[in-house]
Amino acid sequence: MNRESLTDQELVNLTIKNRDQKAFGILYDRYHLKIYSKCISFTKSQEEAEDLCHDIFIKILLKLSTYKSESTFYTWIYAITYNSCVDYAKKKSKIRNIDFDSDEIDSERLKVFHSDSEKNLMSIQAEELQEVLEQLKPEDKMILLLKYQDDLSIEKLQEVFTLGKSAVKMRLLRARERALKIHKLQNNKSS
Amino acid sequence: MINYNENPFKELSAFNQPSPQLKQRVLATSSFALFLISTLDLFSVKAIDTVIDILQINK
Repeated sequence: MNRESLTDQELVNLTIKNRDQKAFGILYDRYHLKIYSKCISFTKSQEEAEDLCHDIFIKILLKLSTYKSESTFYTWIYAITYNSCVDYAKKKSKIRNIDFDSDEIDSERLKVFHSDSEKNLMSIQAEELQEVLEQLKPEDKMILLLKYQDDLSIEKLQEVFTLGKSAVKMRLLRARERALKIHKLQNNKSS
Repeated sequence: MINYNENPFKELSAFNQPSPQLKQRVLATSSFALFLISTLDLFSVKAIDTVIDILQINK
């Protein structure tokens, strides 16, 4: 059987019904880079990222029978990845979150239009972005990674976070604004 | 529209590659997990999150 050509759903069915480890291995091949890139953003080393990624795949396997085909498989695994990374960050408490007063964010929002915040975020250098991500809240970090690294649409983000459309848009906007604020603070410190 | 050629998020993911050993580790543990699943019929357990918490309790 050529498992490579099977859909995610067919590979899930094979893993559940036949305990087919090779089918699960193909799911790993398809998604490990995307999951790993989230893990490395939440950890300080490749070793920790691999431990976290390993645990997420085992969790995916154990929960496989709870996957319902109403959602796409990758949004389902992103939801598991998101919850695992947030739990990890909370346990380690290594992330130095910068909390902003919500009123301050709201007044900032008036100054920065939606499209501008996206354009400004894309103009940050990768090395600087890495530093910004290290200081962002896990929830903000994950939504930015899913949107701009993995190109998830608003509809797919709704599935991952189980939120409505406007709530996703608002969370995305807030995350961008917080990221830009941190970047601005970093620039002020270094100049 | 975003120019994805200049997307720093994509650049970051390009730096990050796991070691080839990670797949071997995942498959080795998944083999044991599939054994547990078959033995304890874990795919039919509704409170699988609780089982996962128990398995992770000593980490």
